[in-house]
Amino acid sequence: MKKILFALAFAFFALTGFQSFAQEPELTPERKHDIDSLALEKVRDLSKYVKIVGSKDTPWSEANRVIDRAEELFAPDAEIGVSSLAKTKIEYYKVRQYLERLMRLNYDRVEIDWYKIQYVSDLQRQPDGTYVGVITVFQTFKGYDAEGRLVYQDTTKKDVTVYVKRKEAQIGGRLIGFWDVMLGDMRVKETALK
Amino acid sequence: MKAFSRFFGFLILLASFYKVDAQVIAGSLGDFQMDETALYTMTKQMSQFISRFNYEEDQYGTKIDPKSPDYHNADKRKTVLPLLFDMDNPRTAGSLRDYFIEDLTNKNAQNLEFLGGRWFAEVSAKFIWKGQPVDISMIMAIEKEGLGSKWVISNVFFNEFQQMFPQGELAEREKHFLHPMSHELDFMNIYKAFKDPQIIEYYASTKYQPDYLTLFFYEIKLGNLVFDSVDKVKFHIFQINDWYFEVSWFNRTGYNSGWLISNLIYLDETEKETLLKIYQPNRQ
Amino acid sequence: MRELEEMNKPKTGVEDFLLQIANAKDVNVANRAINEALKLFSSADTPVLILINNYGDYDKPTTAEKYLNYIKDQKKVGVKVNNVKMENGKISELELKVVK
Repeated sequence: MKKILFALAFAFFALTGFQSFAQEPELTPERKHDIDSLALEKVRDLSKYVKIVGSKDTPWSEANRVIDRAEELFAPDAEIGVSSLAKTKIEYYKVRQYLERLMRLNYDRVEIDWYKIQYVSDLQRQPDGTYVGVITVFQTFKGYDAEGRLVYQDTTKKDVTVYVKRKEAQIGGRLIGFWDVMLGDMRVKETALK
Repeated sequence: MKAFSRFFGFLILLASFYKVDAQVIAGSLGDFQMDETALYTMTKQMSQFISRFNYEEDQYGTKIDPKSPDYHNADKRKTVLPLLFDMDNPRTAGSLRDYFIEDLTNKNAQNLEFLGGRWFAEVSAKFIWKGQPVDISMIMAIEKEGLGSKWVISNVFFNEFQQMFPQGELAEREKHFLHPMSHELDFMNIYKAFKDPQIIEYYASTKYQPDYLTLFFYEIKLGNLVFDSVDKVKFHIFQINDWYFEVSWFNRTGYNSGWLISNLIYLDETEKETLLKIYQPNRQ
Repeated sequence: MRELEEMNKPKTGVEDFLLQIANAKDVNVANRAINEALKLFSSADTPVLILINNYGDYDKPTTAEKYLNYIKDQKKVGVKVNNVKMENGKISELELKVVK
């Protein structure tokens, strides 16, 4: 009898699983939409930081402070994979490296703009339960020389990985459940558009 | 003439379906004042391809509530499905496509499921093989694990491996075997099997199929094969009953770009199983 | 009535500062506004919670100083004050809510 009870208990636990992280609440379409908006907000934050870092009007110390803020949006192992129409092989950069490179580009004036369009994929779950999605945005880049001539321009498609994980924190003596959104690898690919 | 007017008709359908007023989208990313129609029509992600294929989002990419009558709506699918094909390819812009759409939107409508299996990514990549650059295609499949899923390498196509196990003439294969009484002589004749290493596999079962994935992993482990870079990615979809189609990335201007159907074949389910075994040798 | 006014003071105070910081004409003006705003809080590390919807879903909790600097960089305010916890006349916890 004892053996049967033990086996039943074990089966029960095996079926329900051992929760090692915060309980996942049910994601209704409306809630999914809110989480998508949250993820999108992080990508918008990043685009703002990129614009600040790329601008030649930004003082060096400000740009570095903003690079710190941008880095905080990303998971520690995130990389940026860049290719162009001329160079199709992916070049890999760490976030800081990518932004410092942007800062050092040799133009007199830089214009970075983002198209209004943004596309958010469905969220899929990784084996550990973390939700992962991809957000696509489009950026145009224009570089001008000292005489004000346009010497370089491109339109790139940026696919940014977003990780969404349910976490908990102790705030003011109570447990608050929140959605932790982190950016992961980003793919930067030049499009045929000009 | 008919083909041309049909093509032109679809371009108009595309533009009108996706025509977007730059002011329309509230709370969106940039202030950039440009016609974004081409970006809206572009099927930007495979996730979007699946979403459009099933009619789970509208022309602006906004997700449709599953409770809405538009969700998976057959008539809506009929308008969007043609736009998921490469219109420059006669194979994917003609009557076969129409037949496919008809099949997809009748009362036995089928939708693509991300976790539904029977679809693969083909990653064409460069490796360094004994110091020389070579092309290898890795076939990837989505596998469920734990609370979610992941991509796994399910097979590999490498010319060098393929050449190591050529089909061979039946007449020649039939000459090489160990007779059924070989055991009574302690297999003293087995040394003959190893005399010609190039055809050693003739001494395996007639049903023997080389496991290219294991060979690949073996060469990687030994350091003979080193990954260099990804060239391109395309998708092979076998999920829809009686059909196979391929999805590729089209990086071009205009209103027909992004992930589009680049090949379409009407394929009997038994024939399909044979093909599936090549993409996923370990399938149950 | 007077009590209500007193209760609402920190709420409107915070919202005013957020707008001031977002609309600051340069970094120095913004930083001054941040320093003034921080006086409303019990410390620079006062927790700031951000509700993203009516289902009790929160963004990652942050601190008063980090949030005010975030507003400075992003130059926009997409939230309203939802709740304020006070201690010794200072804000000990701030709850914001995303405005859709």
